[in-house]
Amino acid sequence: MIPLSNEIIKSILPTPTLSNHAYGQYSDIENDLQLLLNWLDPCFPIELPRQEQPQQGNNGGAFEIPTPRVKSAIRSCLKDEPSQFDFVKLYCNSMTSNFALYAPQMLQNLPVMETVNNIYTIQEYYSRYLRYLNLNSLASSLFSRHLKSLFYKYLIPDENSPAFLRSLTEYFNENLFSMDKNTELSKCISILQESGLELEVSSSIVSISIERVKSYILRTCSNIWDKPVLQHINQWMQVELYKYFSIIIKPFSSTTALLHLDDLIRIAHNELVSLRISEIFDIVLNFPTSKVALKELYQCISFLSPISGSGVNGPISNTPITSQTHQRQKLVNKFIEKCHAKLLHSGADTIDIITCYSSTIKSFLIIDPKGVLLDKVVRPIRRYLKTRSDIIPKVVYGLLNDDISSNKLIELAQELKKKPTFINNNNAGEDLDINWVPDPIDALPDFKKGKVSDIIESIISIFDSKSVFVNEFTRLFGEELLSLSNYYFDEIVQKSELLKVRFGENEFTTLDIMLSDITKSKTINETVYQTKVPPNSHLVYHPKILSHMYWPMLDKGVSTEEFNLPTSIQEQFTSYSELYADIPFGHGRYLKMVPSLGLAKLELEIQNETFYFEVCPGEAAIIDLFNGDGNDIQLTLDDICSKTGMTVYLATKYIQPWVKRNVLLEIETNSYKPNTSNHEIKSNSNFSEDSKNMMSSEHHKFARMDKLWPLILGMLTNLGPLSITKIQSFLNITIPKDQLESISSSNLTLKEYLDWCEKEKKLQLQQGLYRLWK
Amino acid sequence: MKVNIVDWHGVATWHWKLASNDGKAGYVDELCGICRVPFDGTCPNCKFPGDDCPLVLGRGCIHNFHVHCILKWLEQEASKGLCPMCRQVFVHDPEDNPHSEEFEYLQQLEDGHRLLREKGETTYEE
Ligand SMILES: [Zn+2]
Ligand SMILES: [Zn+2]
Ligand SMILES: [Zn+2]
Repeated sequence: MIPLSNEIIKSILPTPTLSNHAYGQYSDIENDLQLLLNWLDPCFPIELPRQEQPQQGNNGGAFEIPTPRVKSAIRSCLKDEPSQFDFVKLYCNSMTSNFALYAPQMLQNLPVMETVNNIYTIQEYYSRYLRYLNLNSLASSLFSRHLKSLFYKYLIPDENSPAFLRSLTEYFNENLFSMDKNTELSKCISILQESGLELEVSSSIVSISIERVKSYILRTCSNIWDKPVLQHINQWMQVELYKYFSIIIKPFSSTTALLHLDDLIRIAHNELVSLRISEIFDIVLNFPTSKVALKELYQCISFLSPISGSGVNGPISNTPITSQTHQRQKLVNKFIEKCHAKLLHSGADTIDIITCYSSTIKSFLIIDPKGVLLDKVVRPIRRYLKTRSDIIPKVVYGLLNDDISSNKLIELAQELKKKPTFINNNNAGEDLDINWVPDPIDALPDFKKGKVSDIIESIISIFDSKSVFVNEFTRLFGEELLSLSNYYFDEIVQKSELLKVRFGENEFTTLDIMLSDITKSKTINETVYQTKVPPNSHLVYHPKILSHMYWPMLDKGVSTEEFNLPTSIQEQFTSYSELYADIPFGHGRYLKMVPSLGLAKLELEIQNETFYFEVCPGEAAIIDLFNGDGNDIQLTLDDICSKTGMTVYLATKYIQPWVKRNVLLEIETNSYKPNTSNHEIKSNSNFSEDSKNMMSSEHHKFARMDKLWPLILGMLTNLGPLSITKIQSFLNITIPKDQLESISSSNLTLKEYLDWCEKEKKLQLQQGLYRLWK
Repeated sequence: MKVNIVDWHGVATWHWKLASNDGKAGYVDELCGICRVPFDGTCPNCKFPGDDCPLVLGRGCIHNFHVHCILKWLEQEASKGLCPMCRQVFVHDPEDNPHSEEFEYLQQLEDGHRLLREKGETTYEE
């Protein structure tokens, strides 16, 4: 530290030149300097400047307005840039040593406002003199920078424990959002900004604001997913938060732009994103209720621009606004982490996992329509689903069953009816797509949007081959076809058409052959009955004739059971076979019976009451053994086995349902007899687990009238919706009168039948017109 | 109790009756000797078994084929109209086969080969 002295100043002042001399000022140099230093002298306040001093305005105990002589001395001493510059340097050095004397007491370990007032005092003290020095801008900025650095040095002597900043933050925290301290706050902020702490003030205010925003968002948005929140946040920011800012900061914000409303809103959105990331798994589980939250998350995450331009050193750069890419990655990681913890373990139900998989797809497409995030989050679920042994039947059931109450994956059935958003063609032409756009940058190398965004396609593609699904469809349809009590399978055709769109036409060859078998069986049956069977015969045998190589269920399970059918049926089969060989369709071929498959409709007369059953051939074969007029037949298990050719296992299996229905009674161990009381007979379907083989009483009620169904179906298909009167008159035309009468011999009206069809979802009644259920 | 069977929707399978040398040979090959697919299935070019891809029973020998398979074989001159399995002259059993374009064509091919053979024999004798 060099004290500013006459000699030193003399040494740096420009050497007098001829020109100086010519103007006659040469001899005044020494004098001028002395005058200037004399006047400046009080500006080295050895004593602590008293606080009251500046506040009392122009008391000027130490400050004197320069006399004209001094002013002229200033002009002459600081007449050019180099001399001003050198002068300021020396002035600063003196200031530094001077500061050391009083700054610690004035600037450290005091309450915030006291510190701020002292800063102001010191600033004012110097600026009074400075005003008269008429420094050029370079020199004056050198001075003010030096002053700021001095403040900084004493206010924050140790970067690692910024005591002043802590108390400043505390002060802001207490006062920032209350109206009554506005003036004081404004003053405080502006003084600190002037003294080189702009950044510190800003980041303190920003971090307090962020805390406010954070707690507001946590308080008002947590677990609220079904209502929009962004608008409220923005409003709150404007009304509750920013109004203070504008009041406090207005006068000074023009240049430094401390905090814009936009910045605050951006911070708020960032906080909302963080909250949603922590909730993401539950949000997905709550889809579609959580749609609103997902949409807002999309808004926040896609418009979160990375910090750029103005903000490199601005206040926002210190805030925890994370980049978009980073947020997206966090979202993905969080979701996957939760998935593993909550979903992808052996305790979870496959259906729940599939449901969640589907919600994941829908949710993440909202957050990121390009599907990149989705592609990442579904991978672990896909890997896991692949290990689930029951996924194929669950998915297949979900796709095929239209009943909302029984199909937990009804969504798949609904989705199947829509046009696929993506058809996976493995053709090589892929690269030639003219609409090709590059994948988003954070996409994984084998990213393919369609593959993940279409739910059905997405599930199918979990497996390397579609055939696992197709085999299951084929099996199910096969079972359904064989349990038909007629030859109509429109529903199966409709479903298989939808499936072909998804799985590929060529995958369904086997099913096509199966369907064609049933169609041919219908033709054969019609031909046999129309041309070969004598009109008054009592044939009730209507076979489905299968191409045995194409029915997957033919050589396993139930289909391999061998036993004798009731004699009458056995005989009917034999005569049917002969008739078959006689028609073109049977040319060169013969029939083999599969006794265990099919469906029998029975009427049991017990005590003058008739009960109706629809059962499998095995059960029919058993009960037929007890057929006897009047006298009741009692049979042992052995009898039953020898008469039917069944094994004990098979016989027991087919006796049990009759015992459960109270039709047969086990009078002693392994000995059975028909029930002679008709009270407890259960002919309804509510008692058996294989209830689909059982006819409901209603079903039976309409069984006879069901023969009208093909006609009605044809009518409505060809003519469109019809009124009941139209249907009745068409029936009158198409069916001979006596036949129609025998069909509706039960006192049921057509109306009752049509209503039942409506209940069974075969028909829809709209504005008095019946139409086919879609 | 009286049991009345109202309706019986049974299940049966159809099978081709195969020519088996007047029923005397115990073993009848179940595969078409040309395409190695069972007769009750289809030749490689057909989708639906049965009427769409009928069977040809041999009359001269015990061999049977999908009609489409034997047609393809006989279309080649090198077949010389012989059964690909036993190298006897192939003649189908017209009684067991419906009249259709396919069987007319088969008849033509068989006739053509016969004529060629007869001509060849004459040439040889000269
Ligand atoms: Zn063949
Ligand atoms: Zn063929
Ligand atoms: Zn042969």
